Amino acid sequence: MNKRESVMKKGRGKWIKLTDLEVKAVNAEFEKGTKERFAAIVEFSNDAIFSKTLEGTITSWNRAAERIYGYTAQEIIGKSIAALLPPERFNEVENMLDQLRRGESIEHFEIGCKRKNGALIDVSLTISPIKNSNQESVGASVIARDITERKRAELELRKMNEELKKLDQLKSDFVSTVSHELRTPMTIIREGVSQILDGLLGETTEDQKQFLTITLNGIDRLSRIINDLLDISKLEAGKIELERQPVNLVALAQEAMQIFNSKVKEKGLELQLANQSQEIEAHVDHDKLIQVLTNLIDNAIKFTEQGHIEIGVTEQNGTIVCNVSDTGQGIPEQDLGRVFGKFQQFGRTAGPGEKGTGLGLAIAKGLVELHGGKIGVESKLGVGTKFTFTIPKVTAEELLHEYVNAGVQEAMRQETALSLVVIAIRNFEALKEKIGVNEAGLLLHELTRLVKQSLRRKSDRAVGSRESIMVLLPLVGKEDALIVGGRARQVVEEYLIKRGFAQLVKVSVRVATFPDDGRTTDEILKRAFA
Amino acid sequence: MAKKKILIADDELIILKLMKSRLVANGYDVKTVSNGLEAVGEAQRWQPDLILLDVIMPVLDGLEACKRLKADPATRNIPIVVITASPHRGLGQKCVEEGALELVKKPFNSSDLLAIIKKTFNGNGSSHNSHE
Repeated sequence: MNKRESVMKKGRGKWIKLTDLEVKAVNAEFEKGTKERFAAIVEFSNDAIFSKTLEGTITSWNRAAERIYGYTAQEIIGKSIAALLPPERFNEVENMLDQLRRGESIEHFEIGCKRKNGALIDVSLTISPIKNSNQESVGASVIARDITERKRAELELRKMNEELKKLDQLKSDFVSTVSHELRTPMTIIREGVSQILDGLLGETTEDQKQFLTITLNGIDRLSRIINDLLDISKLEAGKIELERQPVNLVALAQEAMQIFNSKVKEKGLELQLANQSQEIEAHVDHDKLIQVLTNLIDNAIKFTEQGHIEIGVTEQNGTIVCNVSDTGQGIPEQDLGRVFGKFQQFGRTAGPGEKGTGLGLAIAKGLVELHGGKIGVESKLGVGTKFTFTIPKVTAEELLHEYVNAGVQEAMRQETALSLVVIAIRNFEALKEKIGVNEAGLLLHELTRLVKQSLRRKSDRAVGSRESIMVLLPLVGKEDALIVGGRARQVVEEYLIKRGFAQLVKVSVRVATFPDDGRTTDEILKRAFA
Repeated sequence: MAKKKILIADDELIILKLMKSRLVANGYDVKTVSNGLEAVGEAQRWQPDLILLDVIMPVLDGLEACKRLKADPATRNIPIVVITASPHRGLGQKCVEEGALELVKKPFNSSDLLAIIKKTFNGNGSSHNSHE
């Protein structure tokens, strides 16, 4: 049945017009029906629905409200909404009432409420103002959903999560402790055996020497396994932090290759660098990348009986691409997917005494990924294997932003200070013109190294870029930062004098300190480079 | 030339014995102590040319010993090599920040350790102004 102004009704097969009286009766019937339907919806809703005046006096109260709060309509209507709240939440209610007086509604406001029996429940409130015909707020309707159960589940989940974190920590601590405990007896065995082998305790026969050497090799392998286990456990726990610095990756590759000089010769293989350019610079963790490369080279040598192992480093669109390829036996296709897994030694058989830890490639993968890169493998049985990894080239600015960001977060968490010192070389352009861009770059590189050397703490970081050297000092306040800045300036000036550039350029130092000069990364950076 | 004096601090007696015999065989004058506090005291009295310091030790650990040795003018210039079995590189690293020269991991290769000792004497021997 619809509400109508003046309508026809169907009578004796014909439409006839209703009288005014009839229209009124129909409308009254309709309104009563609508109200009843609305009342039924409110009454049987699963959420508590009630209304109140602007002063907070409750004016209506549905069945769910009785169930959730424990008050009957009779008991609560005419009382203040304060009865439903624990005293410590009264302030919030005042704020809410203000908001309602301004005609604003409140949605999904989570708050702890008090039942009639004093028990606390969690509810989510949606409150809308009730307006009179002049659009003035005269009260509010409140829909309260009981979320006690959801809150309880959330809390439980959080507790479980913390438990898991604790367990994870225990596991990490356990691995650390065990490896420490193992290292002590291993030191004793290694040194004892090696003193006998070295003849410190008297002559030994050739046979004895041979066995003692085997023993030493076994101990060294055990030691490698422990180191790898510790590394993988730290990687998995996200506990390895990169010490990024500008590194020439070509030189780094050569450094890694040198470690294998004798091993390669022994096996009659060739280890070569297939590189066009002599310098490819990126901000990476030097030691960690050496570890990646040595793991890959070691692996290649192990499975190659003849031919060569080739290392290549190139830069493609801001990404470093590095590969290690061999002319070894190759990896069967079905095993390719598993090579980066832990303890996956299969398919390929290595020579005696050369068994690895089964963790080398998993560690390499973890370290590459820590740099934000990817690692992959291609192989053809009987032809060879090629491992390729890519690492995004991080610019000095990006690196500094990352350092400052991490530093600010940490300083905020621990409520300590953090300082950024920028040593800028003014008129650097003139220097570039005089000695060339390359030479100027090398000069800045050297200055950065010297500044880094002048820093005592390992947690202090220095980054060189364009025409400045930036030093980040965690836990250091303004005064101390100025001292460090002064020392760094002296180092830079002394070097410039030595090179005869002191007349050409000037050195300036700026210090920005958290929280004195700013509370965000951008504020600190802006201040330091203003 | 007088024998160079090396003080070793480690709480494992067998390690002390082994290291001592190795160093004595290589022509050094060696004394051993088994915790950080003894190391500080012995360093002040004996004025060694080098201290080999374990990190995790009872009474006074290596880091604290390192701090005290570097704070005392009488021992400040004695080079320290930290020998650690601790996988927490942090602790050993902190010793380096406190002024230790080198960090050697256990189990060490004795020829590597001897090379480091030699290097210390060649590079820093002159800067050590002992009270002799």
